[in-house]
Amino acid sequence: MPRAISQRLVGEGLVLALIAVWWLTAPRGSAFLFPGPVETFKALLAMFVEPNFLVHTLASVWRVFASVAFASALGLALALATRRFPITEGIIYDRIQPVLLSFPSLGWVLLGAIWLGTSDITVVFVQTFILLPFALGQFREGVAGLDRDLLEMGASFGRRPRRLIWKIAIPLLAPHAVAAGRICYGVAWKVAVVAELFATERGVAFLMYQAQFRSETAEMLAACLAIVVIFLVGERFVIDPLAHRLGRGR
Amino acid sequence: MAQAQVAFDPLSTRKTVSAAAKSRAAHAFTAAFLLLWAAASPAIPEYLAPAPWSVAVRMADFVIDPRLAGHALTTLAHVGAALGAAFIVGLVLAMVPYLAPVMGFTIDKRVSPFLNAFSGLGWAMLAVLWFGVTHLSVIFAVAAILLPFSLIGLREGLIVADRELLEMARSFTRKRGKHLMRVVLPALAPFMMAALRTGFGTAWKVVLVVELIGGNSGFGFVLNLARQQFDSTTLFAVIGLIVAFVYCAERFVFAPLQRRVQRHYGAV
Repeated sequence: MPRAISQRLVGEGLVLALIAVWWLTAPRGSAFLFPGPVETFKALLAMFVEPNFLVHTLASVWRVFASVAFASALGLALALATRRFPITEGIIYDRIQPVLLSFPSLGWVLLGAIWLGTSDITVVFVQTFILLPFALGQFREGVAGLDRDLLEMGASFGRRPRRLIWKIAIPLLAPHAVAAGRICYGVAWKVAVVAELFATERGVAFLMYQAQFRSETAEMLAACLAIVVIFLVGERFVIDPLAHRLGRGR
Repeated sequence: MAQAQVAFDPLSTRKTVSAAAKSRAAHAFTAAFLLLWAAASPAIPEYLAPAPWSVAVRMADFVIDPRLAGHALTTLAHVGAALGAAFIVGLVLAMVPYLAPVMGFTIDKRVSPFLNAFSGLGWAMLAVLWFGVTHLSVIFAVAAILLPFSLIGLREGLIVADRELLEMARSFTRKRGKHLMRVVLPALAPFMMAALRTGFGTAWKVVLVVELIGGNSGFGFVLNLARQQFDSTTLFAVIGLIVAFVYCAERFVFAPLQRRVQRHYGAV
């Protein structure tokens, strides 16, 4: 049997075995500590089908995409600022970036709630600042690596800066934009959704927190799995095609 | 300020600035920020932005007051234990496909993406459910959040490890234990260092949330109390302490250590 097929068989077999063990060992009926797979998958389906759950799911999704876009735009602007005004390099890379990188996410959540109250804007603000250092790190590499010779060669064909930026600089930065978007998207679902705990009353993380309070363990576990599903679907159908398109554009 | 003409660049002012000038600008920025904060604080309600000196005094309390210092040390212990646990489990999982190649798909396409996509908040809540409000809950949840970072980093290291080097090692001896200790683990050293550094930074980002949900001590617990009492001074002090500690650890411990490892074993 070819190696790839045997590896795949083992992989899928182990996943199925794990679900079977979960089903066999989970207590029947209402389970507080350990809900069974059937209960959990029913609750998971409800997250994407029932309107009162779907509202939470969609709220989290749009906020994540908005904050990834804002963090990427801000990261690009800061990185370009260091190129345009080299004097700002120390300020941005030795002060702003290290502070943002070490700033605890809960700190942003509590500060966001104190400064802006509870709203969608607060969540997007908090998530943007949690993601910003990751985006800035990527664009820092991209802007530093911009090929001066290529820009100079472009300039020899025509000195219009806007055309040079559009035709040369942006395509050169595209792979870094993709990497920034990918990293921010992952961190957003893994860490930044914590903003929903105190800064809003809608979202998958808020739902998870409420489910924990009500001891609805199946619902809580379903919210965790919903994040896994949304993350993987978003990566496959939004991030990967975008990366492919930008890569081809280059 | 040393300035010189360089090649045409539509994105820049075409002038170079000396490193000393950049450093002076960074110091001036820090001073301006602190001055602005001090000047503005009397006009802003304390719960929105407490005065910098109040925050500095509270930060000192976390060093002097044994009760507050205990919370700081608890968080430090949580981060240390979780980082160690995530590193060891990550190393073991990364080694599985090396020792049993048939497990490659399982680790790379099933375990790794699942762990990577699982929400940090979810781990924190599951930990409370399974272990209660204990230190174990905090360490488990933080370790689970850090695990994909160490697993992906170390797995990448094993994949790109010099095949010729491994083959040469095999030509000298067929003992797997010897290969592992003398060739594979040293070849992984730069990746281990990178995984530890990433894990350390991420751990401080998430540990407070986990302590808030599943801990009865530590900075996260203190922040929860501060939040309920509208005590912004403590909130700013804890943030300031963490930023200062992580910044210093990165600059004075991890960066020199990583440079040393890269010099000794090669860059990642």
